[in-house]
Amino acid sequence: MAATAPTQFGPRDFAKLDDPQKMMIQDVYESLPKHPAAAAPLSRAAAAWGPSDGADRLSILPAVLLRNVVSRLPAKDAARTTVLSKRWRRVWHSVPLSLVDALRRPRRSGVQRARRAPRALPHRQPRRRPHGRAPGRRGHALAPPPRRQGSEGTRPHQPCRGDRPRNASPPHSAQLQGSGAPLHRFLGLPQPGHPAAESRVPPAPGTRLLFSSDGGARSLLPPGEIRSSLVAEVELGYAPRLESLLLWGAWGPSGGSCWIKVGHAPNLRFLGYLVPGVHHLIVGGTVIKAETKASPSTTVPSVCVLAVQVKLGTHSEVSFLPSILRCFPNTETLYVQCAGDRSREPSLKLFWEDIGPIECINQHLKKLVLCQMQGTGSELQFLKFVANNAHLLEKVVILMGHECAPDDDLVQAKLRYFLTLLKWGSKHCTVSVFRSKGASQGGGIPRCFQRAFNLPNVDPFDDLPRDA
Amino acid sequence: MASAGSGDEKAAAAAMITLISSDNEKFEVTEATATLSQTIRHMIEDGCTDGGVPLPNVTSKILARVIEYCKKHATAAAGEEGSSSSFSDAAFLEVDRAFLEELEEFDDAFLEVDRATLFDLILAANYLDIKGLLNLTCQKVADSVKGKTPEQIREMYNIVNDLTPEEEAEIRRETQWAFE
Repeated sequence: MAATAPTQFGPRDFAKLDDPQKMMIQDVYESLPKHPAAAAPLSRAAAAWGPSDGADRLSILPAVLLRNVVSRLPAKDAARTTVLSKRWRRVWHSVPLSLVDALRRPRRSGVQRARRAPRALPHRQPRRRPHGRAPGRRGHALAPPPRRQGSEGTRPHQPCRGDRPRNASPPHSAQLQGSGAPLHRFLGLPQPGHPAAESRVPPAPGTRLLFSSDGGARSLLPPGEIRSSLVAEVELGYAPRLESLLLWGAWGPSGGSCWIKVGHAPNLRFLGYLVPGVHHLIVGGTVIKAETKASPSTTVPSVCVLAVQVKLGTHSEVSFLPSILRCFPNTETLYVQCAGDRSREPSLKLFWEDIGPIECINQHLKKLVLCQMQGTGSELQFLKFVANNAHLLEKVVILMGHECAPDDDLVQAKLRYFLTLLKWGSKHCTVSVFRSKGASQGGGIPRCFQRAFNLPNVDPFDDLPRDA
Repeated sequence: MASAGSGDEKAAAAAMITLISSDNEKFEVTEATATLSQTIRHMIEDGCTDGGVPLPNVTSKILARVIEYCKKHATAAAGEEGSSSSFSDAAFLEVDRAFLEELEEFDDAFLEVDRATLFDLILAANYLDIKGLLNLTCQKVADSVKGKTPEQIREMYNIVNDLTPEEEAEIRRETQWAFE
C-alpha cells in the first residue's frame, strides 16, 4: 500500500522526479486496485472545512435542495445516498437521474492525459460538472462531459450568443483514444409531482435519453435493467445533440396522457415507441391532433427510425397515426407494435382508404416492421396502405403475435394469400413473415434499451431474428 | 471588485438598491448586481424596493458574500450584453475564454469557506433565487460526496443513521449495484 511509505510523498516531490521515475510512479499508482467507493481520505477542500460543530447541516436543507445536490451525482453515488438515513432514503427516488458513463469508462491512465488535454471552450452558465472535478482543483479530473466518438450525424455546434447550454469543445482528445469512447447519456425518470416531471428533461448534453415505465414503481437501473416510473411530460426544449428518445410504457399519471414536446432537437434520429392517443405530441409548439396538417414547423426532419405502438383497430389510437407519421417526413424505417389489439371497430374498415398521401411513406420508407401482428382486418388495411403507396419500400418484416398461436398456420396462410393480392408501389420489396418467439408483451423491449446503451448508431428497435 | 470601473461609463444612471440583512445592516448595490437575484428582480419590477429590501433570512455576513458573488457575476452579464453585437469576431472566443477562466477562478476561491457558511450560502441562494450561486454551492456539496461510502458521508456531515439494520439491509439490497 502506498500509505506505508515512510514519508509523505506529495505533488512537489513528484515534480522533482525525472521522466522515467514519473512514469514508474504513475504505473504503480494506476495498478493499485481501486476501492469500489474510493476510500480516499476526504478531499482536501472538505478536510479544510475544519472541525465541525456536530450538527447535521446537510440533512436539514429543504428537500428541493437535497434533490438538487443528489441530481448532480453520478448514478452510483446518488443511489448510495439512500442508505444514509430515513430522510435521505426518498431523496434519490425523486430526482431526475443522470447516468454518467464515467461509471463504465474503461480504465486507463486518463487522469494524466486529461490534464494536458486542451481545456474546454467556454461553457458558461450551467456550471454543473457532472463529471467530477475535484472541488477547487483546476483541471484535475475528467472535466468536460464525454462526447460521442466521431461525428456522424452530429454537426459541430458553433458557439453563439444566447445559446445557453453550449459545450462547444472539440471532442476531448483523451477520451477519443482507445476503442471504448464513452457515451454520455441521460436517463431521466422523474416522478409525477416532481418539478422535473412537469418541466423538462435536462437539456440533454448527452446523446441519448431513455424513458421507461412499468406503471408506478421506479428505480434506476444499472444499464440493462429497465424498471421505472410515470412520466407526465417529456420536453426536448433544447436538445441539440440528442439522438435517441426511447420510451417504453411511459404513461402519464394514473395511466393518462403523456406529453412529448419536441423543440430544438436537430439530431434526433431514433424515436419510439410512441403511442398515439396516449402520447400527445407537441412539435414546434403545435399540438399534433388527428386532423393536424403537416407544415415545416410541425415536422422533425431528422428522425429516420420511428417506432409506434398502436392498436390499429381502435379509433382513438389509429386516428392519430397519420398525423404523427406526417411529423416525421424522412422516416425510412417504421416499426409498428400491434400488441394487445382486441377491438374490431367496423368504422375503421375504410380508414386508410381516405387518408391522403403521407410523405414519409410515399417518398422515404424503406423498411416496415409489423410486430405482434395478429392478422386482423385493420392491420391488413394498414399493410395494404403502405404497400400501395410506399414507392421505395425494400423490406417488410412481419412478426406474428404470440397469441394467435393456436390457429397460427391458418392466419399465416391467410396472410400469405393477402400478400399475393397486394398491389405494390415498389418494384423490389421482400416480405418476411416470422412467428414471434417471446411472450406477447414485448419481450424484446428491455433488450431494445440495452442495445441503446451498448451500441450507439445502431437502430435500437431492430431486435429481429437474424435472417429477417 | 473591478465591477465599479467598467460598469460606470455605461450605466451612469445605475439605480442603487439597499439590501437590509437580518441583523439590520444595510448594503448599497447597483440594480444590475441586485437583479441577479430573481427574488429581488421581482421586487424591483413590482416597485417595492423603496426604503430598502429587508432580507430577514440572510445575515450580514452571508449577505456580504452573496453580494460579492453577484458583483462579479453581474460584470460578467454586462460584458455579455456589451459584446453581443460583435460575437462573430474571431477575437471574441479568446477574450471570452480568458474571462470565463477568471470567473471560474473567482468561483473556486469563493467556495473556500467553512461548511456552515457553505450551507448558509446555499440557503441564501435558494431564498434569493440566484441560479448561478445555487448551482455552484450545490455542486460543491455534490463533489464532496462523490466517491465516498455512506459511512464516510455520514461522518463528514454528521448524519445520524436512523434506519434500522433491517431497513438498511433492505435498501442496500435494492441498490446493490451501486455498492459494487
